[in-house]
Amino acid sequence: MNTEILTLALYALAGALLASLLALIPALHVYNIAGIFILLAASAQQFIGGNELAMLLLGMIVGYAMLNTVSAIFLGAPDDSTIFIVLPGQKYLLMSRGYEAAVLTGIGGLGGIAILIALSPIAETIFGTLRSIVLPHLHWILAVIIVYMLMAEWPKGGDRGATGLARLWDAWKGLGAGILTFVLSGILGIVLMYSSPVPTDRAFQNLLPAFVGLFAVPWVMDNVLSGAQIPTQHIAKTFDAPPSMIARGVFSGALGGLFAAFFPVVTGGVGGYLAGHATAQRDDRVFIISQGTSKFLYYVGAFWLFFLPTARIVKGGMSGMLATIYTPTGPDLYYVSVGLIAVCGVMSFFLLLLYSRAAVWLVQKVNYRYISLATLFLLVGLVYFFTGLGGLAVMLVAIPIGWLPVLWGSRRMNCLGVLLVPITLNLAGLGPTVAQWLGLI
Amino acid sequence: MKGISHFITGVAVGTFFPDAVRAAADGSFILVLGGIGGILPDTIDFKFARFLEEPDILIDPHPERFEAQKIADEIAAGIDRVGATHKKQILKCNTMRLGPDWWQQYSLKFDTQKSEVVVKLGPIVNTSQMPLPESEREWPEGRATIHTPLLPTYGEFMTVDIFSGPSFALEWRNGRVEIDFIPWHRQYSHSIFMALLFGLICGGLFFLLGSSLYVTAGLIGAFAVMAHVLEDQLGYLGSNLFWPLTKVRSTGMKLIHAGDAIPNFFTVGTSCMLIIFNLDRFSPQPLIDPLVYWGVLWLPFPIMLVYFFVRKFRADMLKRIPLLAQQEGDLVAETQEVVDA
Repeated sequence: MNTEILTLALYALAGALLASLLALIPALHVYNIAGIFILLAASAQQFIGGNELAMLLLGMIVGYAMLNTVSAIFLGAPDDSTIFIVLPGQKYLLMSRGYEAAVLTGIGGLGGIAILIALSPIAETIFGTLRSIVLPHLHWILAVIIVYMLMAEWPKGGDRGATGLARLWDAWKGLGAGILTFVLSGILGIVLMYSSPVPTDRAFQNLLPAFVGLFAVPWVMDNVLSGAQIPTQHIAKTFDAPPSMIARGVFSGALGGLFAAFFPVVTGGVGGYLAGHATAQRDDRVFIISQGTSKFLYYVGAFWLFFLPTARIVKGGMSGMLATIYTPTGPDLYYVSVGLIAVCGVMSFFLLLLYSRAAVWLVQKVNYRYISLATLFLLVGLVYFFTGLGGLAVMLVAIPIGWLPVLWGSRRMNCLGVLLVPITLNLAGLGPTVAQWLGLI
Repeated sequence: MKGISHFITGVAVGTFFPDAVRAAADGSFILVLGGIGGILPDTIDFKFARFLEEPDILIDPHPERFEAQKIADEIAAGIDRVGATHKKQILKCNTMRLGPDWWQQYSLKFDTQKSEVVVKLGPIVNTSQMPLPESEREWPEGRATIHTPLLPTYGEFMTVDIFSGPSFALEWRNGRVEIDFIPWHRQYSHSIFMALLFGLICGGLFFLLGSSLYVTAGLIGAFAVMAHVLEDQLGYLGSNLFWPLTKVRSTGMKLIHAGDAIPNFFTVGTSCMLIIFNLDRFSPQPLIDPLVYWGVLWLPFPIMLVYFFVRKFRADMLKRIPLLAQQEGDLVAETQEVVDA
């Protein structure tokens, strides 16, 4: 057993190391590579066993969850889960504190590990029961989240105007753009679900071009056009966050991350956003820590639920793909997975410190506009590589939708309509009807 | 309370209707009405009412030509004008935007002890209200004497910095001028009338859609708005509960401030637990043991609340702040939440 655990640990550490490198490439999601691994493993089962593959993927997701903030903060290329970190992260970068922001997300991630360990003995009971209760209600719970997202966006203008109606129009321009963003991205999501131009043999990469177009390209292009200058960065020896602040951030992020890990379609960013509201957090540092925790638990927690001995909840891309060829068995493997999450998480934290220093060096040595341009070319290249011309077409449609919030100052979170709308409609049994209205089927 | 607390309370209210929960399990979205009703009163105020208010005194300063004395004089003259004419005036303070993420902060204070208005320039701040280091300039402060007696009000400096600035109603009341913060908030939108109206709209909509649940939909809508209104009564400032019969906002129960973290977390946590409990209770095979659920799992929430009240009452004993000042402080906090969101 000990040798077996050691073998599994080696696979997990290798996965974490690999993912830590992948996480540095903007927009390259761990699921993109994991999908390829699973396809290869399915046809080469004599070389790698199910448990080994599962632990390799576990390490990959832990490494990715801890390190994907580096590209979000230093290159300004976020995805659906880091979209909330990029704004405070880039703000910190412009205040010479980019390294500190990255470390704060890492501390949040470490907090996430502690939460997983603490919950591991009771997770089976809690999540198993909860799943049985809420399963028939997921459609309206997601609708409630959508309604809150849209109703809780408040006007950012409206001060100036000769008449009340002029002020109202000024205030509603941004809100209207937010709603329009949500509707358009929702329609894009329905199109991708029912009639995607991405080739069917690459169907597991279906959302990559949409995410790159909605989240990463507008931000990177904004950095290119604005010609942002990055000031000299300070590598802090200590971080400016007392234990009570870390506890508040981790607590808030844990609520959001576990919510996101459990509920379909809710991403770590949205979970963290909801939990931040629920726990009335205001401080930037608490927010960054909480997003670090939430993001970690969203990715890792969802995969961890897959190992629950009897409940075995399949949620998230990684467990969804793995479940097609593998079923974990027994409490031993569950506790091994918890232990390896901790080991890989701690190793990834130290890698985060290292890579963040490297990123600091890069943004100081090379003109940030050139970095942003290189990132942009990389994003387009990756989309073409993984999804072909069909994917590029999807990305080109997604970019103007992703630009709407940038131009009108509304929330970028509204782009998550691409996931929330089609899944909510499908859960309510309305997806095919709406697809029919749109002439997709 | 914060928007999410009101919203989730509204959803929880809806789950007390067994037919709504069963319909929801079969694909209906009826319970979403509870959330909409829960946040509706603030939506009406912060997305509509505030922009339709016409200011009588408009402070619209320029960041490079900031005239603190002139602003203080203008505000003091407005207060004196109310004293002389007994006619209500609306004062609106605009913000100064410097760039996509930068704002020039200034602040003002109504010093009722010295009968003065004080205005001063602050630092440049970003949209998270974090000051830009070394951006505070040496700038002359503005002080103007008010010659009319004032009712006690929020006595600290109020910052005017990001997004939309605050407004104040200057009104003659009991021989003094009352400075009423954000006068467009918690009026008709936070009344029993609004609860009935929204209930009728929800019921009517479901009736028109041919749903047999139109009565339940109406009740969910009405009770969700009412839950928001009642939660607001827990604060220092209540609302204009009986609009259009009454004209002024009532005093609340003075238990919490709108932005207090623990009461908000208690509300969200308890509402979530109520939702799960009700979904289980009205399902064909309930799984939850109520004794364990409420007796053990819920316990941290009331413990936190007790801790909050013990600390709050100790603090209240030490500093005696006039009620009006507390009420206006509550409004400042609530507006802040909308800004943060």
